[in-house]
Amino acid sequence: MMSIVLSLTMALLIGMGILTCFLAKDRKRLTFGEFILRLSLALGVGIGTTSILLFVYLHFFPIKYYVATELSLTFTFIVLLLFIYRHKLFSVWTPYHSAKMNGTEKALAAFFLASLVFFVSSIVLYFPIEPHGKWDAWASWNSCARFIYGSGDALIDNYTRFWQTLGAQATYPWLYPLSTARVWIYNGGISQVVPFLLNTVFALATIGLAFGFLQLFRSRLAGWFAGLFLLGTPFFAFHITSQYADILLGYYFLASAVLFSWWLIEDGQRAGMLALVGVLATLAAWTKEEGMLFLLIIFALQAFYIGTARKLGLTNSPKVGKNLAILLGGALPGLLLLGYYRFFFINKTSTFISDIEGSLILIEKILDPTRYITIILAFIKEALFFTAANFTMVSAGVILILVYVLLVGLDKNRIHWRSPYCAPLLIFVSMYWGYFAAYVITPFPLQWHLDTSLNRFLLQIYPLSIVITICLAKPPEEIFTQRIFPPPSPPPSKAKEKQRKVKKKR
Amino acid sequence: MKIELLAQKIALFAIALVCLYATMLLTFNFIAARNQHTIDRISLFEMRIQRVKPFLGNETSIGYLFARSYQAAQARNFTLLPLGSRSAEQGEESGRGSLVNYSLRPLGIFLGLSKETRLMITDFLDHPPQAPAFIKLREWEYTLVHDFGGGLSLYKRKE
Repeated sequence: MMSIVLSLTMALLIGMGILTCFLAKDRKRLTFGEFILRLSLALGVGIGTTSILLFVYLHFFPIKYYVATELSLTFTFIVLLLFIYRHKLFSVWTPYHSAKMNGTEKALAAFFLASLVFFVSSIVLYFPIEPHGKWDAWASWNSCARFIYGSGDALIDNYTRFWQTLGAQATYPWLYPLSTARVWIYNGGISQVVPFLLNTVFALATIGLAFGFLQLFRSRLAGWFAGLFLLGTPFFAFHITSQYADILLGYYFLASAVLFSWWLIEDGQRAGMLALVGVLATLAAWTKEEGMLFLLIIFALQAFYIGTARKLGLTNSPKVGKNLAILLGGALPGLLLLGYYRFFFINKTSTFISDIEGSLILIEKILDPTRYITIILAFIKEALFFTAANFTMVSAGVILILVYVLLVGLDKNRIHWRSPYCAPLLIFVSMYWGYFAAYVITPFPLQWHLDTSLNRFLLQIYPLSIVITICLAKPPEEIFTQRIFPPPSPPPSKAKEKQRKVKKKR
Repeated sequence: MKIELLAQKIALFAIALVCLYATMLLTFNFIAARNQHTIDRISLFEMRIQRVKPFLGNETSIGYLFARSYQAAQARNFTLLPLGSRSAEQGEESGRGSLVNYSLRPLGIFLGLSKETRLMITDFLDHPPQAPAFIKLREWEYTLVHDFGGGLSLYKRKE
């Protein structure tokens, strides 16, 4: 168990180091919310980066020296950072003492902590029931991790001989299986707790991202509410135990979107932040194929935002070309890796793309209104009820969030197409339409495809939708700070009484 | 106005309480599920494969063909969810067989049925052989090496 903890700690340290390079411009002390936000970002960046490191390493070096290599690389990296950023490191990673909580915040924090305890207990209790997760986990993700770990030094040879001959799973990206295999290498043996643990870590980091971003850019109570909404979503917990890659993908979607919004809030001045968006978006594409769509959307949106803002003279940020270059710079290592993986390593297109029929059938599908009706109905049904999973319990999901918005109201100052707070909304809408279009042209039987994947697609963008909704709603403090009974007027002071008496005498 | 504000405050707290309640219900639901006494499929496969392992030698690529039905497993007091998977169904129908492509150290890589695989394990959990798959096995000149009983057999491709 200690080796598993060590492997995750190493990933976190690497992530923190990378984040320091990208965000070291800050000199101010962090608030608690921002500290949690950065820590959550570091986890995802670290785990993603180490998966890439292992992939590259296995091409050239024997597996038995991997742990020693990674430990020495991490040590060297941290020493270098301590030397380069010795004056900034403290401020980048130390939260200042936050202001005291009022009664309402204390109550919400208590609810949050209690929910967190129940949330973690529930998934830990469920783990022994299905230690290998659901079908896709054991037949695809975890078996790929077993393949990588079992092959060891013969990975490349085995890949072309065996794995490439498989169907759909041979084209899935490898962030999740490599991360699992990496921890197994540290552990010196296969432990089924690892994919479950990775899912748990990413789920908690997702909650951390939502909490931190909203505490930073909306309000402190909003952060607690976001955490509560995520914890109270049965489908979110259920998918940790199923050990699919959707929790990981949802994390990278949210991380890229909030960082992109943060960059816009800072008026597009922080190049490091934009480059980090590129890193995170490519890690999304390295997790699952839907991530490629996300990556394209991020690039398109970046050009759109800066292009329109410059045209209207609303920002003094650099030109579109320069920003695209920065984003591309951040994404470049990931893009090179993805290109190598797709075109040289697996040398195979995804089953979705390769199975798409000829243009005539495709046009027939696009012009068929019944397909649209089927998809729209499925989207409405799933969007409202997918959060409840198969449990016969209250769905603390979409419906509750809608009630929340009705209660606090929308913040009209933030709802504008150019508002930096609306950037995640544009990403969300683009993803939603992207998924919709994918269903229209899907080469698989439509109903089967909707039944087996739509709820997972929605789960991927669910954390993002919570952050968007709460960010665009008014802060709940507006309600909680209002007094129902106005305080009684203070008794007149002695001096004032004297003045009154003097006036009376006159 | 005062009542409206009070209602808003109560409703917001109620939302937080519902979230807490949902996590509690989830915990109790999962506690109840523990009594189902399920066993995962991988463990079941691994348990059965232990008997075959001494016959595998140093072979690195071993085919593994299994059946979709689990009534037999249920008869052994295991509660298993029906697979109902598209790939498993299609695999059996097409005669390619389904696959469990995981590796056992030191490098026993289990794949689906293919012409290139020298050794093939069939695992049908007390079920009669799946006809299309066996036709393919014969067609590709696999011969029986050992029958372990209970639907578990080892085949070898003719050199």
